[in-house]
Amino acid sequence: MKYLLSLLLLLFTAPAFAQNVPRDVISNYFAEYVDDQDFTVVYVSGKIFQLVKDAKLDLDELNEAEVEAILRVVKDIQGIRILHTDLNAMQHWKKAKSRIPTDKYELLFKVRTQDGDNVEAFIQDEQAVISELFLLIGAADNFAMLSFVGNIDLTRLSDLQRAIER
Amino acid sequence: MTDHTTAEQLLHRYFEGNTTLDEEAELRDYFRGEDVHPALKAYDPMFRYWATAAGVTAPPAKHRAAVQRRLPLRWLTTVAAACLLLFVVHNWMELEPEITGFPVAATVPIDWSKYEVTDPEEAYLVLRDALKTASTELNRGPRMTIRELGELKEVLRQKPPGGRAGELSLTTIKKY
Repeated sequence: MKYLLSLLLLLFTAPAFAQNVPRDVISNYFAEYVDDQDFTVVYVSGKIFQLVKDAKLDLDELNEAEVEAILRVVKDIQGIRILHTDLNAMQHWKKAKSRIPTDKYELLFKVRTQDGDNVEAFIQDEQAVISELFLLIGAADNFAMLSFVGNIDLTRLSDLQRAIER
Repeated sequence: MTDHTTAEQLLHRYFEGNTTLDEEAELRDYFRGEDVHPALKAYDPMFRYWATAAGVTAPPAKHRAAVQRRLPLRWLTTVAAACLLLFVVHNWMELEPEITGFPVAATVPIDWSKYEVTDPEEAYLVLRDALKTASTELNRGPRMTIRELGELKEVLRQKPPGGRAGELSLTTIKKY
């Protein structure tokens, strides 16, 4: 009986370890793009946001209000992953679109301009909180994927444009 | 037949607890008889009661099977095995990889630290550009929807020839 209970305990805790998989769409579905030399890959971790906050940035045209607005948005963001290429952009765009798991990612909006630029935004939510915002951008000479992981407040993010442009 | 004097002596010894079984039987016989001395009548109901009580037998006890105190191990093991099986099957189904309809290469853990921006200034610039893009696109989506809705509203407001405002005619639809 003792062994049986131990086995049951092990089986109950095993899935918790097994499900410790990356939460972002790029790691899960576009892993091979990361090693592709055609792509520029950038990762900004949540730790650096704190450094940005503490460091006295020596940048031209640095707007304090802008920095404050950005830091307010990234407060609950755990990481940003960006993949970009200007080679075979439309081909990548079409491929990428078919790979987004629509059962996990909900389409927030899609935009297609007359110039042929395409933008699709997806969100992944956990218990009514947006845990990832994923932007897929495709144009004739540009293809980019942006993944924001963390507790995303869309209102704050959309308000940010005004703060940056001020 | 025991006489009154003997009965009285036996009674004294009876209450002292010194009588033999034979003497007690003798006493019972005496009180069962009709010739009980009036001085000993007070003890008559007691001996009658003993006589009646002696005839009372306990009702036959219901036969109950001995209670099994041991745990039904076999049954418990079967239930535990069934639970385990259900649990394993459930977990297995949960961990089944998603089918995306696209040939996805086996996922290998990505070492994101290779691509991590460690300089705060550079990180800030990347951050600003990424957030600006996201923010602009987030605003562009609803803006376009609103603009398109506005255009649709205008179409609906068009007064078709020979029709009332708010009515759509085939001509109007063709026009747009």
